[in-house]
Amino acid sequence: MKCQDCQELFSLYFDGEIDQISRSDVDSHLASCPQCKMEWQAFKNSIDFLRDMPMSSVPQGFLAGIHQKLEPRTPWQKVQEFLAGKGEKKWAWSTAFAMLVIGFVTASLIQLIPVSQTDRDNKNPSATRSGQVAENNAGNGESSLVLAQNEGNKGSQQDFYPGIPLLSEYEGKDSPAMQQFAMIPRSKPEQHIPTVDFVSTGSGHTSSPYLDAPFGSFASQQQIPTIKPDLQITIHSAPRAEQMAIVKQIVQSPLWRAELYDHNTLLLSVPASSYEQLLQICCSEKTSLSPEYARNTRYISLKRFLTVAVKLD
Amino acid sequence: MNKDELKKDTEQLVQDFLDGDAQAFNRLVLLYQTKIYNLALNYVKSPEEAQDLAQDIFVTVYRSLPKLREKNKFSSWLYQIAINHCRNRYKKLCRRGYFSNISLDDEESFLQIAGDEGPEKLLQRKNTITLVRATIDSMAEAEKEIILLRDIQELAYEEISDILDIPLGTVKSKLNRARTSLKDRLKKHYQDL
Repeated sequence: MKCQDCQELFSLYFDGEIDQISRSDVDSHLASCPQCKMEWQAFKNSIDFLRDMPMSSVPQGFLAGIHQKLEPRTPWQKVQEFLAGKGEKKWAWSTAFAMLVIGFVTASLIQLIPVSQTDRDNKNPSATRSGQVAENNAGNGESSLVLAQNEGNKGSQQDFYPGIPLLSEYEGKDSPAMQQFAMIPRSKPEQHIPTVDFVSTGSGHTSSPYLDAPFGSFASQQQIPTIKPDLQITIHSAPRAEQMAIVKQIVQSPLWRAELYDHNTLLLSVPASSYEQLLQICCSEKTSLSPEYARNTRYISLKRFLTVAVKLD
Repeated sequence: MNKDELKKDTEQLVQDFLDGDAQAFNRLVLLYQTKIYNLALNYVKSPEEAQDLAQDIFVTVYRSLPKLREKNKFSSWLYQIAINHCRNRYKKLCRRGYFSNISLDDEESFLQIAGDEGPEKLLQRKNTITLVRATIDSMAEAEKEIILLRDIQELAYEEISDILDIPLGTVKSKLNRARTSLKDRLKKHYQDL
């Protein structure tokens, strides 16, 4: 018998689960092989020691504890055990998974709820205003749409004096004049250029606070734009010749672009840098400005083009 | 009580319990509580945890006993439940890092050595038990289980085959490998044994 074969039989040999022939073979091998005999001794000692190891006695109240666990528990006790961490791990995972699913479903449902038109309008007051103006102009076809778009560009600042340019619209980042007014509202992020609303002058149109409805021969023409100028200069009580001289001077000036709006109104597109020259021309006579503060050029941004209406009274 | 008497008593108690005798269960617990508690103790180390684990095992037995088909195999069935509980609890405690926190004092506290040996011998024996237990713990789980069942619980080969659900021949070969492994690990400490 080889040493390996002998050692593979040690366990059965120890337990007495070996047949008589194999037992004799192992006995004879152990008698002749000191190495295997030493291994056998170590094998036997380790198992003997295991079997001699004392059993620990059961703690007091073991049986009572079993009965306690067998008693039906109230839901409150189950909750207490769960909170104390005695619950099964699988329940903790199930709960976590259920919470995750509920959260996901709730989030999905919220996504599916349509946002009403009213809500969206409330979020954009300027759009609401535009919508209202457009409503007032119902029947004007596409012109009302254009007006709504133009109004929408004005931003969300509340306009207490409709039609009058806001001070903040004149504010430029590099405008030294505005730095002295600490209480002036902050400018909008992008510089706003006032828009001209091209709308029909037909029935239902809300007239400009500066310009009355077109009159005279032009009034009969259709599709005359109603202008919301940035400011209006009215030349009062001057002889007609003087008034016409001023108009001529304005029209001939290369500094701005002038167009005849009606028989006594000129519309000018004036670079802010040339505004002072315009004031010098116009304000030499008895004139009134609307708004009046426009008489002071420091309120005018240097970067802007101004739409100015010059009206002969 | 020898093995035959134990088996006979067990079969009678199981039958009594199934016939409605609630006290029969208490007597079954008293018959097996030490073995099951020590089996649990070999897995979880701490007496408190072992008590809780062993109680859970008996609670499962109480609830599942009516479903037991082979009444004469109660012992194997009980150990099957016990091994499953022990494996699950051991894994659960491992995941929680329980064994990295348990102190050596806790582990040694369940070594109850009685005898009329002198203090020096007693201390030496205690150290050896600690050493052997540590060696068993260092073994692979399958080797450890088969040694616990055969050499500490002293179960028969057939019972181990039923409990672990492996063929008898596999039990024999696995047991030989496990015992040889234990012997090799303990070799360097033979002077202490």
